[in-house]
Amino acid sequence: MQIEKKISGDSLELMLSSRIDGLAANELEVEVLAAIKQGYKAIFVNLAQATFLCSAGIRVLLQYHRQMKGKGLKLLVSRPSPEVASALEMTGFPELVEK
Amino acid sequence: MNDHLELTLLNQKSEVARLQDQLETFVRPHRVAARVLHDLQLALEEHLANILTHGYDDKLEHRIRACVQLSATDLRVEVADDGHPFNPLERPAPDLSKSIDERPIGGLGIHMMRKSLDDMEYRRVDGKNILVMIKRI
Repeated sequence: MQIEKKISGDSLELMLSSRIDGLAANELEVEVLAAIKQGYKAIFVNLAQATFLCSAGIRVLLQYHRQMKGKGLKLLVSRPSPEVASALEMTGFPELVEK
Repeated sequence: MNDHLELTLLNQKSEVARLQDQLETFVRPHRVAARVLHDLQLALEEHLANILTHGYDDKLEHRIRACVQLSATDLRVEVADDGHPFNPLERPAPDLSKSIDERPIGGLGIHMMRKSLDDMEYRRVDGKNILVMIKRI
């Protein structure tokens, strides 16, 4: 999987494409951990090009969303594809999406 | 219309993507909606993740058999594994009413399988779990 990064000030956008399956979820976790370590105040996971989001991916988003929120920072999904939006909807996590 | 695909996978994470790719190739020449394929792939991903994570205590190689069948009315995948007895139909549904900060992080996969599929059938035969995941077309 390819992860593209866009930096603007102290916020980072991670752009993921293709399927966010179990393996891709692991790669996403590595990138998020690195971004947290680098001290970004906001992390946006852009899933406009993601065709699929499995529960392992949702767990990574949820875990670091909570961790960032606890420190007064944020991690949110931006521009979810219809498939991603439906996965977040069916699991009851629409709050993970940037308003 | 009646067509099928059989595949034997090893209990390794990389094998899941191989099955997903083969399923896409199998479905491509037929008139199956993208949504149907997506939902079935999501359920398969969750089921195989559960088998690989919870199915085995040993470090041995195991074979998981997947049989995909396309009929005039549905697309279905039967997965047979020799892991611990595990019936996903018996798992309780997660409590979706709790706030995002209180919700437990586990238990989402089977919930997503239930939501994505039209039907699931489970049986235990000769020391194997057999799960049929059905999506109407």
